[in-house]
Amino acid sequence: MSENSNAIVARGVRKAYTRKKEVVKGLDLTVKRGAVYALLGCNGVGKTTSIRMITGQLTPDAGEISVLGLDPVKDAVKLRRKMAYVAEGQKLYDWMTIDDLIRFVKAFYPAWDDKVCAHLLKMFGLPQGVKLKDYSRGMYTKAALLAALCRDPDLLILDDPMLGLDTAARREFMSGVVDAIHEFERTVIFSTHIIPEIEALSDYAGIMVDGRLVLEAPVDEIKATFREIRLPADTENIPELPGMISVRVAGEDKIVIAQGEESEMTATFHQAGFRFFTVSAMSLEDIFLAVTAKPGS
Amino acid sequence: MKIDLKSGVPIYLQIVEQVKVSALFGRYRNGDRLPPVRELAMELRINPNTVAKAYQMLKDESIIDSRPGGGNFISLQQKNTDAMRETMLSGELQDVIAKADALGVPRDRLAEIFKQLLKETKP
Repeated sequence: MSENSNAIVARGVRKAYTRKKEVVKGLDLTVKRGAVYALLGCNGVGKTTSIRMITGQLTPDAGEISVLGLDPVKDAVKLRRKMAYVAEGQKLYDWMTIDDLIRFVKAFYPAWDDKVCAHLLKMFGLPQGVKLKDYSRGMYTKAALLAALCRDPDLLILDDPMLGLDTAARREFMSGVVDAIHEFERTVIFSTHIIPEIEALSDYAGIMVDGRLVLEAPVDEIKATFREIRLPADTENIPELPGMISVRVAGEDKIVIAQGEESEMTATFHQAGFRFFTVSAMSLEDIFLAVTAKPGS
Repeated sequence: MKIDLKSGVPIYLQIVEQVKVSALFGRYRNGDRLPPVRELAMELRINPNTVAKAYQMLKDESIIDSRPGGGNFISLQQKNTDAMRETMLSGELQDVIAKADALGVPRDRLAEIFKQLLKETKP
């Protein structure tokens, strides 16, 4: 795979932990260099397993993965210098203080940036002289992000890092991530199901359902094509739209969700004789819920 | 500035629109400096590349000017502002026309209402 404009390419990737339970079932994913990519999915759809294959912690059963042009398993050592990883519940060295941690990690990474480090220390307000094991969960996660960012990685992988953080800690963490996005230089892949926080940050989104991506596109494109059409709840004979995703009743409204051109949707409803309906854009979270909803639920 | 995630308008265009409106209503004057890309991105917690894209578009439309040494400054020319005012108002009037159509108010009746209101409303 020689596509240099891509930071991560996965094709037909599969992984099973036991013979009966395949978790990743043919993952095709493309992350462009310099992009911020949101990998979205409910718990248990295979996000973390996919991320662990990208980082080389797990070997795929089938398929190919290329990360920064390298094989994550064969070129693991080389890749580790270029890539940083922060995961939910990740363990640091609990007996160290933040200064110990900085000294320790810095020794392994020639690209370590003292300026970024000083800046993030100040921004995150991490207490010095306290052991990491006595940090709150928010401080601990910010310490992990700091250690990841000071290495000046080409690829930053965040696996649901905000899980279990309170709102204030999540905000500070996100500020650190915003700060880490450099124009076209650094690729960020963010796995999460907390969508409102990352929506405005992401260039691309991939939505994962049951071990595969069901949607992968630029966020602006996704938001430009999904629409919610509201009609009175007792409306019948709803016309068939080409990209219809779902029809459900919520209170006094019947809600149709479809993907396509808004003008075509409006025209279809007009032609079918409908007068009382509204068409509106959707947040990425609402689109996610529509795409991942199980039929009938 | 603020961002509406429920809107179908891409974030960079929301920024472009807000800068234009602020400039047209005189909140920004020529020579005023826009916040640096990074600062605005942090404040809104959005992707700095999105802010950069918005600023580039404003530059392409000759609404701002970047100076050597850094900084983006409002630089509106009269002929641009006239056109922008009209584009903005046309957009709002189109929304009104669409609403009138949806309500079943005939177009000539809408024109009458508009004329009447122009007469009654003091400038």
